[in-house]
Amino acid sequence: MKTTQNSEIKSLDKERVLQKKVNDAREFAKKINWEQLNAVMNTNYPIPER
Amino acid sequence: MEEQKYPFSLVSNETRYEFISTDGTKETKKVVVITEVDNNILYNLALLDELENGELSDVSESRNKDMEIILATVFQIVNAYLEKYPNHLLIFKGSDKRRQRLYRIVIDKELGNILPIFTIFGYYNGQLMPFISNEESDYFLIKRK
Repeated sequence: MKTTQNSEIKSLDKERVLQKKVNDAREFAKKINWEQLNAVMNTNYPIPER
Repeated sequence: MEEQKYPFSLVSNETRYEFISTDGTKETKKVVVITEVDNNILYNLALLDELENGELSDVSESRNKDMEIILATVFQIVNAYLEKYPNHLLIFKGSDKRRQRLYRIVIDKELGNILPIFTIFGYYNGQLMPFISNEESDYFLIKRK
């Protein structure tokens, strides 16, 4: 069990750059005004609930 | 199946592509990761190097002098992905200002090939606008027409 946990921690550590990029993108996504996006991009995406 | 079950959810919704960059003498593994970030529509695209120890890096420089081939390959990946998921909106940005500028220059150069198939936007000072050639943006957004 301990070996598995260590392995998972090591694996996650190797992907921390990716996780940071995804977190940054999620922060950016919070700024998106989906009504504006639909209007500007001529799309009909559902408006997410915040 | 009448047994009791635990609820479950998909923790990470992502797609990975890999390719090898080379200068003829050494090879660098490139990884493109597309991850859901919002609304099941908005997906982040990350271009990373996988280092020899398995660690992913967005700042390493392979110096294979093949940047144009790499970006053309990424564009093919974007094309393949959005063909499969035409409703998805991909967002991406460089890991630093130099890379972000490079992406802008490449997009500008390839605009004639991009625009017949894709819609590309930038986020400029908090405003979503169609791609502007000489303006720095926070993120680029691309979708199939």
